[in-house]
Amino acid sequence: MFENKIDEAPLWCVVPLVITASISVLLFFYPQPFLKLASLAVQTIMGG
Amino acid sequence: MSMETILSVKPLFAVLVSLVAIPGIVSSRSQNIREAWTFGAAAIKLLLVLSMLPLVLDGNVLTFTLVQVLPDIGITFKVDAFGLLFAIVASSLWIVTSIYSIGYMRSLNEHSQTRYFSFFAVAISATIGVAFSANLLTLYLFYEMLSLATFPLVTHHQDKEARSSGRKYLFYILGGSIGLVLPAMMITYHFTGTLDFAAQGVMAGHINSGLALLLTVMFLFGFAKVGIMPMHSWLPAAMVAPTPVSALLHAVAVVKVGAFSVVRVFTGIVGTTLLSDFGINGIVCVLASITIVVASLIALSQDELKRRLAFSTIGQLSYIVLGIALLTKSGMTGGMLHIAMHAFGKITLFFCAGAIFCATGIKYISKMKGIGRRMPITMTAFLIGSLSVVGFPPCGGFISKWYLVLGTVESGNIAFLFVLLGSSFLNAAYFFRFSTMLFSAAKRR
Repeated sequence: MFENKIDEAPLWCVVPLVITASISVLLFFYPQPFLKLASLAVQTIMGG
Repeated sequence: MSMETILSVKPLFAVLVSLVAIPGIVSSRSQNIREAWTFGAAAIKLLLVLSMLPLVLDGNVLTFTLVQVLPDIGITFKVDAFGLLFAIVASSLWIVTSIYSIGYMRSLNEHSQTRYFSFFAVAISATIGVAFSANLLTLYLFYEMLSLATFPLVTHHQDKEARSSGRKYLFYILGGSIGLVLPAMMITYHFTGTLDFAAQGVMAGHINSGLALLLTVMFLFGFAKVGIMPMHSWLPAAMVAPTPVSALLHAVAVVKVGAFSVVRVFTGIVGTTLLSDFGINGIVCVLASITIVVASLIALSQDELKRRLAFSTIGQLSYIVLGIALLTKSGMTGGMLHIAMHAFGKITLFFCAGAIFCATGIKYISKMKGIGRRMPITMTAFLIGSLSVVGFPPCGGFISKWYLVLGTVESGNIAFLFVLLGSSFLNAAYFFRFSTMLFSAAKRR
């Protein structure tokens, strides 16, 4: 169906999806900012 | 950690900055200047939001009252940890979506781009307004503002299908908020005398179990943006919108505003004690579980990529509701984290769907066999987004699902653990089978 020729979408479309995919991986290794905020919020709601 | 309430105008500026950019967007004579306004406003908004992070991490809360509407209710902003988490997600993804929108709208030579970028700016303002709302009235006003601002975006193509989808969108979203949330808000105010979000809710001691259950259900279905079945069918219909709209609004802003509003009302108005004492949380868990399983099963059979992503989103939103309704620390942490983790994974998948459409004009999965050989970067990103949404390491989605699974174990209700694990298998089935097909060679005749 598709030839083996590489033909991506325009750069303006490709760069954002590379950024968000990279952040998805980054968040596995460094979830701390969101984890701290979520933990703080839960602490306020549940107490302790 | 000492908690202080700090009076600050930053929350107001963070809400307003994208609205201030609209005259610039509308009056720009060239595409470049219009896009510079969009990008500039997005960057300033993110910086303003991030500037509040150190104070909030120290346990402080920032507040600002814009106007006092009634003697004891104002249009008031409050930046706490949960609100800031959501605001960081929305404002950071607005920047990347702005870049993506430029590429998408230009490459397809879309009409009415000025209108598109203007309403996009209103929508992101409303989203931040919801994130920073200090009370239910403020949240409701920004929620409605978002509904109205996104209608022109959903109906952007202005054809018969877009108009029909737009009507469905308004029927569910405005119907839910005006028909259910508004009366629930008034009843709450009548019995409690306040609409302020409090750490342990405001209903306890004022409302009996039957009324509490009724109001909880009214809020849950009324905030139709969260897509709890049967209030979900606007979401697949709204996929008629241009892909950047689907990406930001239907992976991040609109749907997450629904989830955020439900969490805020459950914790700040109804209160976890009342939810637990009257057993309301169990009913909410069951409703969320049904949505998770049914949406995952429907997603399996969708051939149009964006519709498959839409049904996936409906299921994933209910993970957030389930996590909160479990009323355990891990479950709540997982639910809140899932707002962020799912957003980054799902927006990647929407971006990929749009990139495929830009490059090939193809929308249907059955016609995409072997496309990974032609678009290796896009399809590698698609694989990563899929891994994150399914909850596989090394992606952020694994972290939120880890906490959600811990939450089900802590709650002692193993049935919900099986719902999470079973739906993850279904997620894997509808994403990985597709991902494998994308990289496989097409059959030669």
